[in-house]
Amino acid sequence: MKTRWDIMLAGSGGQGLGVAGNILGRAAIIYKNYYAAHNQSYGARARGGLNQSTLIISKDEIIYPFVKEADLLLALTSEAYKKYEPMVKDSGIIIYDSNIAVEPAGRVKEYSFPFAEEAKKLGHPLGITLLALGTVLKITEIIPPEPFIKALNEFFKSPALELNIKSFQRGMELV
Amino acid sequence: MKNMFIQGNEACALGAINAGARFYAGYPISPVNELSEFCSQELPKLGGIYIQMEDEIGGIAAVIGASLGGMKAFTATSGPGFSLMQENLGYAVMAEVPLVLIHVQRYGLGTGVATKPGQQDMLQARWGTHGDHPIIALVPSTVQECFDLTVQAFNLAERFSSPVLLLTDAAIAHLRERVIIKDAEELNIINRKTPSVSPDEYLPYAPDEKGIPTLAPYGGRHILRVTGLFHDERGYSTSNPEKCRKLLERLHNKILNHQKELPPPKYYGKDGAEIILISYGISARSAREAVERGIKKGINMGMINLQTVWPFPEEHILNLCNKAEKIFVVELNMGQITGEIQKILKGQAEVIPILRYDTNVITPSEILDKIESVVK
Repeated sequence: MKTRWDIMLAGSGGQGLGVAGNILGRAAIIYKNYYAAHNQSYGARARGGLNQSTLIISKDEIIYPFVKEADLLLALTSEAYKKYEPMVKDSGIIIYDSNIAVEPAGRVKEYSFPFAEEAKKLGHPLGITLLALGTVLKITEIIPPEPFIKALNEFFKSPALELNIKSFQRGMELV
Repeated sequence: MKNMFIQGNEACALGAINAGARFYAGYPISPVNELSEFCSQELPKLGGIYIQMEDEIGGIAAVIGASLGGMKAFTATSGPGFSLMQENLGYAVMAEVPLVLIHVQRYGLGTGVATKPGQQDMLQARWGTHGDHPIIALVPSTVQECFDLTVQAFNLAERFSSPVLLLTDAAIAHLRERVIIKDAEELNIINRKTPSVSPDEYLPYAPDEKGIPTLAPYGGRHILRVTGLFHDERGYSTSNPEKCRKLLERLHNKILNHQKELPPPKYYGKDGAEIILISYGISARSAREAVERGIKKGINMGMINLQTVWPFPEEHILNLCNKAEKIFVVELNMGQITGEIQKILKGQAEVIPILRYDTNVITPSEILDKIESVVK
C-alpha cells in the first residue's frame, strides 16, 4: 500500500456508505494495524439525498482527520459524481456506477461498473457499497480481500453476512 | 487491551465503564446520542443502571443521588442540556459530589445547529453555575484521548471529591479512529475513600490533609448529611462568616494546590519556538497539522495542545511560551480561550486569535495562511 489513502465514498442515503467506510477502516486495522479516520454524514442527510463517508487509511499518524483532497472517489449517483469529482487529486482515481447519468470529466483515471444492477441481480440492493468496495479493492489493492471479509464477520450475522460477502466477492469479479 | 475502531462518543462511554462507572442518567440530545445508546446497551449487561430521565435537570440530579449512594456515576449532554444542568452542577460542587459530566459541544447559542460542532461553551463550563466555584474540565482532541481523559475524569472526580467536566464537540464525538482500549485491570483506577472513624465520630465534611472530605455512601452506619447551603463539618447549614469563608477557600484550594495532578498540555513542534499556536479539542488537530506544514516551510513554530482547560494551566503555558513572540490561539468560537491567554501573558507576547464560528471545523490551510500573513 502507498503511505496514505484519502477515500471518499459518495452516493445517496441508505446505500450503506457509512457502514462501508467503517468496515474498510476496521479491515485496515485488522490487516496491518494502519491508522484510520472515518467520518460520515450525520443528521437528516444520512436518511436520503446526497450522502458521503470519508476514510483515511495511513501508515503514519493521521493528524488532521478530514479528507480535503481524495486519492479515490467512489460515486454511486450522478449528484455525488458531480459534487465530489473536483475534490479528487490529479493523481487520484474515480470509480463510478456505469448506469448513472454523468459526462465523465476525464481529468483523472476513471473506471465504471454497473454496481446497482449487479446488486439487484444478487437480490441484495442494500449491499451496493460493499459490492463496489470489492471492485475498489481489486483495482487499488489498498488492502487484500481477506481482512475485509474478516471485518464483515465482525459486523454482520447470518444471513446478512453471507449476502454481504457474496456482494463483495461479486464486486471483485467485475474487474 | 484491544484495538478498536470507534467514535469519540463510544470511546467516552467505554472510558467511563472501564473506569468503574455503573450508573448513567440523562436525556437524549444530538450530538450525544451514540454515547447514551451505548450506555443503555452495555451498562445493564454489567449489572449497571441506565436511566432516561424526564429532562437534563433530572438527569444530573439522579447522577448526584447515585454518587452519594457510592456509585461512580455520569451523564452526558450538549449545549441546551448543559444549561439546564447548571443549578445542580453547582449543588454538586458545593456538596463535593464526585461525578463526570460529558458535554459534547454543538454549534451555537439557543438550540444552535444540533449536528454541527462548536467550542462555544468553554467559559460556560468555567462560570455557568452561580457563585465563586472551582471546576475541573478536560478537553480531548483525539478519539484515543476521549477514552483516556474520560478515565482520568473519573479518577479526578474521586481524588478531588468534585464534579469533573469532559468537553468534547460534535466533530470529535462522531469521528471514528483507531483506539487502544485498556481493560479495567490495566488502568490505574482511583476509588472513593471510606471513613476511618466510628459512626459516632464521623464528620462528613471534615477535610483530610489534602482538603478532601470523606463521603460515606448513603445507607451505611455513617450518617452523611448533604446540603447545597454553606455548611459546617457536620453537614449542617451555617451562615457563620468565618466558616463560610474557610469552606469557600477550601473548595478552591483542594484543587488549585494540587494542579500538578491534572493532565498537562502536550507540546508539538520546535522547542522554544518564536511562534506558538495554542488550541484544544478538534481545532487542535487542524492547528497541529498547520504547525507540521509550517515547520516544513521553515517557520520556527510549535503548538500547545491543552488537555486540562479548567483550572487554566497558566504555569505550563507561561513556561512553554517563554521564548515566544507571537501566540496564535485557534478555536471554534469568538475568542473565549483567547481571552484567558491574553490575561496571563499580559503583554509578554502578542496574542492573535484565529477563530472560526460558522459550523465548520477550521482547516490547517486557513490557519497557516493567517500565520503567514501576520509573520511576513
